[in-house]
Amino acid sequence: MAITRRTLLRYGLGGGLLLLAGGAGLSLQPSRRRAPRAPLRALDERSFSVLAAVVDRMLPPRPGYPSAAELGIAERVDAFLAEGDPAVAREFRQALLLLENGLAGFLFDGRARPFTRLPPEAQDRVLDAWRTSAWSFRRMVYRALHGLCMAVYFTCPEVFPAVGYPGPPPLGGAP
Amino acid sequence: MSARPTGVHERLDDDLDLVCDVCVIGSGAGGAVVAARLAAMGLEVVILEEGPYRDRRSFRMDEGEAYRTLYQDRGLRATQDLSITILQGRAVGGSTVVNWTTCFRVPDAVLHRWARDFGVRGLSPETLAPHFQAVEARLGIAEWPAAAANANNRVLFEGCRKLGYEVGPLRRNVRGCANLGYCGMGCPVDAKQAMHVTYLPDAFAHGARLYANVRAHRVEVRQGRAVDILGVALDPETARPTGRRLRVRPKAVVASFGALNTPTLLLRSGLDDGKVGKRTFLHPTVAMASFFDEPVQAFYGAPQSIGSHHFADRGPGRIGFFLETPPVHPMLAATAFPAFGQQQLELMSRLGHMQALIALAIDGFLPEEAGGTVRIDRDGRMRFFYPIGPPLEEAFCAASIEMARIQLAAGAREVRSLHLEPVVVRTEADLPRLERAPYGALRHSIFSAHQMGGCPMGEDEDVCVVDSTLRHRRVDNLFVVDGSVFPTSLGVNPSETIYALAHWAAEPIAAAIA
Repeated sequence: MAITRRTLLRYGLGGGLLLLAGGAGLSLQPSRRRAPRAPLRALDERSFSVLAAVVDRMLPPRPGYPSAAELGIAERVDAFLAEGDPAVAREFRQALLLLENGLAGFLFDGRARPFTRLPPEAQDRVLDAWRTSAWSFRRMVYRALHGLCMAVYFTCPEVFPAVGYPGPPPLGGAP
Repeated sequence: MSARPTGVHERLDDDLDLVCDVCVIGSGAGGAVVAARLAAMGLEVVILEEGPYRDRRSFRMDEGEAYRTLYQDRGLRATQDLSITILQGRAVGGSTVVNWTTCFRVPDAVLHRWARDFGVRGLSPETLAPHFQAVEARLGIAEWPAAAANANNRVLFEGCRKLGYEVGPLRRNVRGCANLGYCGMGCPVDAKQAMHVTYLPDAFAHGARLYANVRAHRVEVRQGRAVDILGVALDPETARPTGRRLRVRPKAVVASFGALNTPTLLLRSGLDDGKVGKRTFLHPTVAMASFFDEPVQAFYGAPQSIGSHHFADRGPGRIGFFLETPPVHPMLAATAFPAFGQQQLELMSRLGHMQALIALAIDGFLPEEAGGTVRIDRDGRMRFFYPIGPPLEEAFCAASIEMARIQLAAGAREVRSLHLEPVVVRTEADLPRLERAPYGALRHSIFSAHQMGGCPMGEDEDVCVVDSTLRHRRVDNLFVVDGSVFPTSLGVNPSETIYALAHWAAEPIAAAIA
């Protein structure tokens, strides 16, 4: 599973500066807040709101699939980060704030609105722009966000029927 | 209800000082075998293992739990730029607890290259043969019949047969395998002959003690001798330091922390000679997914049972590769496919019909290949860099095309690359699309399950960290016994060669103490 590491900050000077800019909150417009359903342990309220918006677009509603919001995927990502290396959590938080950042968005994609204030189709275009960017730093951030969302969602047993996975076989009496 | 074998200590209530003959750091393929051999010779052995003790009672075939609890960095280990996902075990038994059981002897040609290019002395196929025989007998290493291969592996078999490519059954270290398909999450029936059910109990039977949840932080070296090992006790659940310390004072130290980790330990111990951590190799691995009309259920059945070395030697100047299969469980598949949204969910809906091949690039044999480099940061944590140059990119491209060809030959309806912008192939005529696609870091998913090198063995003092008896060049009583001593990659799955090398290394180590 390809995910984040505490290395994000050190990925070249440009990437590091941008992450710092994201973390410093140089936004032209406030984020649209989303209240977590459980107390946050690794993220702050703002970065959580961005994560929840990313989860909505990574794992949108689809017939047969349980809702990512109802499964609390963003909350579970927060819990996963809280149990690991604090440096990883810090850099993940910075990556989320960079994605949200209106100034960075303007420079990259010509949008001044924060990610959380964009309509869903525009959010998809932003994620696509990061996924296919010519700049490998942005592709790395995409992989980090994508990896954690996918890992957490697709390890929920509630999702197994939707993908045709019957789950682990019975062991037949092993103690 | 204590089900732990005698000899395993899982928590430190107080700081502890120990004296022994040999301290083995790490309990995986290298550490377990060398510890068992040394203990059987009558030496007092203490093993330190940073991972937790887990066994079949706790293996629940649950991807989320398994990667979080049995893998390095909770399943997040990667190169510094996140371009290569690194699957490496972290438990009592090391990677042998979670590997996919494939066993090979190191090819003779690789040993000859080591002798010629790195001055490795005395490690001939004939020298190693009895050690291979011994570990094969102890670990039940035998060919898995092609007739028992699951549908996922049969695609590799049938596709290669149709194209006239070399292909055959693999050997596995199992006894009474139930063909479940969950080797990567810990064998729940103890069929896999991993170290925690074989060589570690052998070591305990001869009095060895193992301290789990203790990370070797530093080897104290004075006047060319390793004096103390400083260990930090970790909480088994969170892996965070508990504040307790363990100090071991042995006559000899065996570092079997695994590639990446052993170089990290040596660097933390101030043993940076400009060579430690260099020449780290990964068998960088690319994959192709394919879809069949009929169910494949690649999450069930022995995950790896068919292999092909048809493209291992691609001629001078080119990096060869070998072909195997991975298990296709939901999380592994979903993280490997880089799409999102409806496209991703649609793909995942077809999981039961999904088939996958992997191509493992045989890195480290071209003169220009320096491999990866392990460094440490101010806090002593590992930083790992692995630049992917044009020869590897060319190999990834060729491998992707050949995998697609094999999948189509076996009847796949659709083949899909793991590019960030995926390439879809439905007929042979589509294959040129794969040729035009970009290859390299963060262009597509890349994995490594085989970490090798970083403390190369041999007599070439400009490159080699340990000599041909695996003894550190500057620290008399420090030995390295794990995959980090390989001067190149192997071109085959490495676990069995690490077992045999450790089996062979015990005698020179015992002689050095006496």
